[in-house]
Amino acid sequence: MASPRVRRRHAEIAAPSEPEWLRAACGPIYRISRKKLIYTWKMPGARRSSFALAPSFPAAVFATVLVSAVVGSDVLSRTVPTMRGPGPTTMAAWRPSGGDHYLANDVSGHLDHHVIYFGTDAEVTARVRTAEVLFLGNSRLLFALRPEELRPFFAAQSVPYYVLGFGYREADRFPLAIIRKFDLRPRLVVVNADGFFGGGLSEWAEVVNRDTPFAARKRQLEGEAAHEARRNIERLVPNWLQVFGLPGLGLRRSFNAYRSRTDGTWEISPWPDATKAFVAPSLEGRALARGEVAAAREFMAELDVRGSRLVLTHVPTPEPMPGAGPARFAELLGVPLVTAAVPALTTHDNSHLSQGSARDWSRAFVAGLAPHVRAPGSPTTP
Amino acid sequence: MNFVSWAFAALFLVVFAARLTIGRRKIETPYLAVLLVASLVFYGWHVPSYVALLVGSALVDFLAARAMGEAGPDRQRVRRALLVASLVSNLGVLAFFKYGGFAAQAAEDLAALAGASLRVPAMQLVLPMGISFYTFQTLSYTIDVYRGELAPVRNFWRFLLFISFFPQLVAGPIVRASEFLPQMPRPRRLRLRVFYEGVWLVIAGLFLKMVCADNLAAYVDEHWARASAPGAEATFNLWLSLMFSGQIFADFCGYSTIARGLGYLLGFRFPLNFNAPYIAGTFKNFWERWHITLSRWLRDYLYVPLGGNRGSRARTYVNLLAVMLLGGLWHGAAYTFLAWGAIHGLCLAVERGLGLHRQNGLRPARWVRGAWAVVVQVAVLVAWIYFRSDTIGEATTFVSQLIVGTWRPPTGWMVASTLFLSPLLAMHLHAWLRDRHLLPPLGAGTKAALAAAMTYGILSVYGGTSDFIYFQF
Repeated sequence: MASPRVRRRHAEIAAPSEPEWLRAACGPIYRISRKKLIYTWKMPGARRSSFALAPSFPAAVFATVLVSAVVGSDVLSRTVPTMRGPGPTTMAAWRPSGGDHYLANDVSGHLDHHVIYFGTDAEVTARVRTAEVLFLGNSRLLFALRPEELRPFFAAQSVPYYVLGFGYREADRFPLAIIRKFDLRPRLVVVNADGFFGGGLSEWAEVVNRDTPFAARKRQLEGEAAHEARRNIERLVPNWLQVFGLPGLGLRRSFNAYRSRTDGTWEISPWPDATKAFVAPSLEGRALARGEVAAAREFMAELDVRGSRLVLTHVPTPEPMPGAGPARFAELLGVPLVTAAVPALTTHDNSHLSQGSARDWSRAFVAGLAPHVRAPGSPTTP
Repeated sequence: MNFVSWAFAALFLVVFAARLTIGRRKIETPYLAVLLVASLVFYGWHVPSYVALLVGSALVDFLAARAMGEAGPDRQRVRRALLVASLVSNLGVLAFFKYGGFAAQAAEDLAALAGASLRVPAMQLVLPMGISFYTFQTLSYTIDVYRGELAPVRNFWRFLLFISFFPQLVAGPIVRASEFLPQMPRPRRLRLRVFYEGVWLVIAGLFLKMVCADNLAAYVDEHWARASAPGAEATFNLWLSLMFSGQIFADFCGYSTIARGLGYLLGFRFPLNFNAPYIAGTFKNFWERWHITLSRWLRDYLYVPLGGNRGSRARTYVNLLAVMLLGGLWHGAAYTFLAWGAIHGLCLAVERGLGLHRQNGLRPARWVRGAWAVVVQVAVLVAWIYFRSDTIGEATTFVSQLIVGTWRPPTGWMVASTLFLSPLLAMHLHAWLRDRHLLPPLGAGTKAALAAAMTYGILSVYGGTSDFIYFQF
């Protein structure tokens, strides 16, 4: 390799095929004669050059402007009410303490499917395997089942349980795949029959199908790190898109969900305060479709093989029923349907129950489910 | 591994620490070893087993080039056979992973046209990240050695570092061996000015990606299907196509800019990949400003060997069309990419036929150049619609609604959403003024203030997605 001195001796030749602007942008191009002709770019700063200002000047300007912007926006958001937005921002929200919860879902990613399917968290896998009562369903079930109501009841019964619901409108195929993969044999399976039978795979279940255990661990590692970093940054600098939203797309305020390793219940943070009353649609729904019947029977047959009993339920929602109603499935399969009559139900997003209604519904539901749950060792009876 | 991830941040910090310690002066080997290991970790983070593919591809080219060097200039037949072996192995792997599904689909479509029924079993393969980019890099090396323009490299690990160097591994710039290899035995003392330039480029690239591209993507992803639905308004379709042209520029230019910045910080220099392409007045000039390293690769290794413009006029047009069709296919195995390439190829041929590509001497009158510049940018916009759409039919409906749809004033939120285009507009305006020597280059203080403002934007207005569009290529 030619030394800088040798290089200076060579004529500086701009390659004729290179346009002038490229030369201007990239600096002169040297043709170095050795055994073969090779081109190289001149490194900036290869020649000693002096700054007109002190070398630390750019760093000082950078720090001054950035600190001014951060402090200025903080002062603005504290003093001007309209700069605060309608509620707590997603990332600056509370995270359950104690280390029992892992991140299941946040604004930029979803980890729940990967963690459970690939068993990246050993404690979760162990709890799922030993659970005698499994709750299956979509995110409406995960919002509705409140740990403060479930835990005392199941602790009194000494029955291990796990809430194995999934977000993104997950239906029966993915939970069935988990039951088969881990060879689960719960005594009782409670299903929120809300588009559950014959609903196919969600987008995240499809991702799981394509991914590897390595990808799952990587996803969890990156997701947790990014989540914690964002939570800390947003304490300092608000995310204006979370405060004001994108023009035309509005506030797409997402929520953080943390799943308990012990029992699979979700902690939602922040759970919006806004509530809207609704009346849940009829439990009959439309007539059963052929695909739904086949899916429900296949699911039931799988549980029969494993010695598990099935109970259906339905978490109230203002959304129209995506498939046949739970009453029709209960009749088809000959299984009990446990519902909870709660007056004055409210929702915060036209889909999931609000926090207060979720607590009320959980309490009533647990009372209704009690006859179906017995202590370990004795058979579960309807 | 994605630049916009904490895993990458951790990896880069380790490498930069090596740069500040064992990579300060001429103590090369340990530093290069760190770079190589980091590059393989970077690549293996996607699918670990594909590291073997990368190393295998590099090994084939390394051995082929060394054998060419040993054969000497007299044994041309042997050299040619070695080149063919290298090309077949590299392009074979590329074709297997990238074009297998497309070829099967094309066979099924052809069979359907002929009235027959053909079902080719589909393969579920994850495309190796950046395979199109590193394949072109290795090809440039073997071709340069074959032509006698480059001496074969003696050290395999250095050659592997050239292929796998992580800042530009998965989405370019496509660096040639003749640009990269001479940089390895150089003294690389870290200078403050170079450090500032590297940090400036990294921040600018992250801003383009996280603030501009990701927020524009939110609009494009939300509304793209609506634009080809019946009754879509022309105003809406125009707005949406502008949003996508901004998104793809910010996304790809953002990646290239980050790559160049990281290169500076690690002591390497990469060629410029984008230079305000939307101020181009001709198609030729557009390709001198958009994905510059790809267009010069296509020029030097495809267009010129095909005969370039040295043959008849008709042959030149055919060459232009063939090169751009292959350029389209390079982006992905889909008819829409072929259509995108065909539009650019046809436009380049028409431009050359009309003599509008000339920049000096015989160049046309000012008003003709102005009018042609508008045609160029409209055609580029239309080509982007094909690039983004899932099918040719969807894209054609989008374009037809754009032409025959109703024109109404844009809504307030449509106007407000162009806020995310404004940094790109400012970039292009600055480049336009700089080209005409109406503005001095940005000073150190201005750059520092802008970098701080962009950092604040990155922290407070970042969008939701993080995958780069060109990762899939």
